[in-house]
Amino acid sequence: MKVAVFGGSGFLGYDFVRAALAADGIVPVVYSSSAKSLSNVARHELDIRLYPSHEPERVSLEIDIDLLVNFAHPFERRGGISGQAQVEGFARFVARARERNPRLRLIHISSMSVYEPFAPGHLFDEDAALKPPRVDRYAREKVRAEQALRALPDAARWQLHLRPTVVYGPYCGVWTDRLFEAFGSGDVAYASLDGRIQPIAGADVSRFLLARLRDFRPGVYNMPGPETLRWSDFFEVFRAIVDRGRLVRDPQGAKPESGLAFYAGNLRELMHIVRREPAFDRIAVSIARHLPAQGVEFMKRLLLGRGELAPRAAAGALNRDYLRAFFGEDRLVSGARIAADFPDFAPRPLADFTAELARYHRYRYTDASFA
Amino acid sequence: MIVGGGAVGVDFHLPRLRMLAGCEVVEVVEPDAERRAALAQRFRGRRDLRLLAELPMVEHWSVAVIATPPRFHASYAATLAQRCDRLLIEKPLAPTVADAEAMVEVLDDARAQAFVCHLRRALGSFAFVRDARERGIFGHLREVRVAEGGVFGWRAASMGSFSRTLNGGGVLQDTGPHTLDLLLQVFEDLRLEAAWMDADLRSGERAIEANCELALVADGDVPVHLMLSRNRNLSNTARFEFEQATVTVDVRDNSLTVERAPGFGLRGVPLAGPGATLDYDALFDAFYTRFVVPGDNRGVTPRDALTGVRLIEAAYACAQPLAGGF
Repeated sequence: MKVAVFGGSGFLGYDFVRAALAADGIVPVVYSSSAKSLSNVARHELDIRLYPSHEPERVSLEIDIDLLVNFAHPFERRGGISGQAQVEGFARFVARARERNPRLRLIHISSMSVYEPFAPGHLFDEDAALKPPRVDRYAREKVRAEQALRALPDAARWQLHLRPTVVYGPYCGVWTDRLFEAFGSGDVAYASLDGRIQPIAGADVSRFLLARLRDFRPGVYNMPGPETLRWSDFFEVFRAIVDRGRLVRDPQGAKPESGLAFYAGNLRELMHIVRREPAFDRIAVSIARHLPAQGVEFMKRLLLGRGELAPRAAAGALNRDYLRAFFGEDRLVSGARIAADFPDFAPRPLADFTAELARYHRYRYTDASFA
Repeated sequence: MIVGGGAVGVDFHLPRLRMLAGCEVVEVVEPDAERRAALAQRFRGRRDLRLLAELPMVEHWSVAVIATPPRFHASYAATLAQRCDRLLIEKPLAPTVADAEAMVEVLDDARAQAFVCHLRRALGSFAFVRDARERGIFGHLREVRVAEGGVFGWRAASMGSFSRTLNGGGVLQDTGPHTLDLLLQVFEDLRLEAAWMDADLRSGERAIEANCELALVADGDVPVHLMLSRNRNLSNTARFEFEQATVTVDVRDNSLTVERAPGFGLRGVPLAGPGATLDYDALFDAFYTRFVVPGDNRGVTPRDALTGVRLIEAAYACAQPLAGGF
């Protein structure tokens, strides 16, 4: 079975590709919008195709591909095209592929973020109204992608949409690597880590997807993990693995999520465009040479939203990335539908993955030899 | 003139040809129409830049840069050998020893003075280690461990860095020439004992390694362990264990640490070479200033690069599977 995997070079996409390669009879074809992220998938003997994320309609899917798994999520302006336009372009591409091949089915990996803003103690089910705040661009584009795909003819018969909760595992930037790096750099400040979540391992998401390749069933499903944890419990697992740093409470540090984040996002989007201009590079480089290294890193993070401090560079610094009120809020979904329809699917608790996360930390952040 | 409109040619060589090498007009040869159109859009209004679909057959250039995938280096070098004053060839010199030797033969007698862009020859730290070893300042050198790697973030415009056909391999072909060249600043001779890679290079045509480890022997009796990665955050250091001190040299900038006993030592920057805090731009500046502008290619000729090419080819030929990754 040949499967097109969009976003197959990202964290979750690569995890699925690895699982697919290990399974019998599945031939993944990876579509990636950037050569930057190919290090992992390129290690495997498989077909990798670059496509312009701002023009997904240019992709022509082979007629023998009957299943498309989409992990890709455009959320920043690329090639002068907004995230919204990219979402619409992707939906048009899927529509055309389906017209050419009526057997085509789609598995779309969405996110629990579609339920933003969450409410304390409330388990959101799949029928909940989706009304993400205007300033939450990520959530809004997740909703738009779902809506654009579900608006295609007969979508309910050939599309499966999944809304995983907090996903962690090897190569996960947000909920694995950044936590390792934060503790690896020293202490981590927080205002409240009392919010509750239902984390799920990337490996379990991949296992579910593999099963759906052979037993496809359309629908919309939340994908919570098997346990409800507070962020503090989740963080502690990563801190213990790193064996460095402490959680330092700073109750005054939390700032409300405000419209400022929205404008910071827009500024970053603008900077991503401006920095492609050679004149900007020249000016920026000459300014950077007169700044201390930490000043350069600060400006990178402010203007480009990246360039996190490397563990060694920031040794001893107090990490303030986790002061947001976000971590004091519950983000819970109902797993009733997936449990009822897929009783054989049993995601595993975080404790079952601790040893693997520790092995990954040693791999990712030390000079340990594997020869 | 730059052959190849990818990131290294346009983002790094182009500004230095203009600002450091004194080139008033730069021609960029980019055969791919889509890429050429994108460059035309990006550089619209620039009178000092011309975009060409193919290499003109009659012109002569003061400086030419070959910044294509390595597979094409040999043919462009042969074409340009008599048609420029200075010829810069991006690393790796060539994907195979046969190609590299052919290039050396052509360029040895060429009108062009050839430079292989081994940027880190501009660092002074490894020359310091060589000197310290030769003088016996810290006693006998017992062992060397080098670890260079970070999560791949190069602004790649194409699949070039991930194509075995175009690049000849993965991290070893990509980062390896630089790292081996650093060791060759310290040692006269490097011999390969074993190699491990995390892609099965024998099962097909496409897989390329993100991780590579080499066991080497330097100058007949010093064991050297070299690790390269595109998906691990390695320390980016070379650690020289002498009898009386450990010298740790950063492989990407010009800093080093000498530790005589735990907690007793010093950290600094050798006087030769650029400052300690370097980004890739500063390293390029240093390379141009040290070698290209004064026209001094000692240590960076194609012949100098042959040892590295031979080691890399030998490593691919004998690589064993590297387990333990994700």
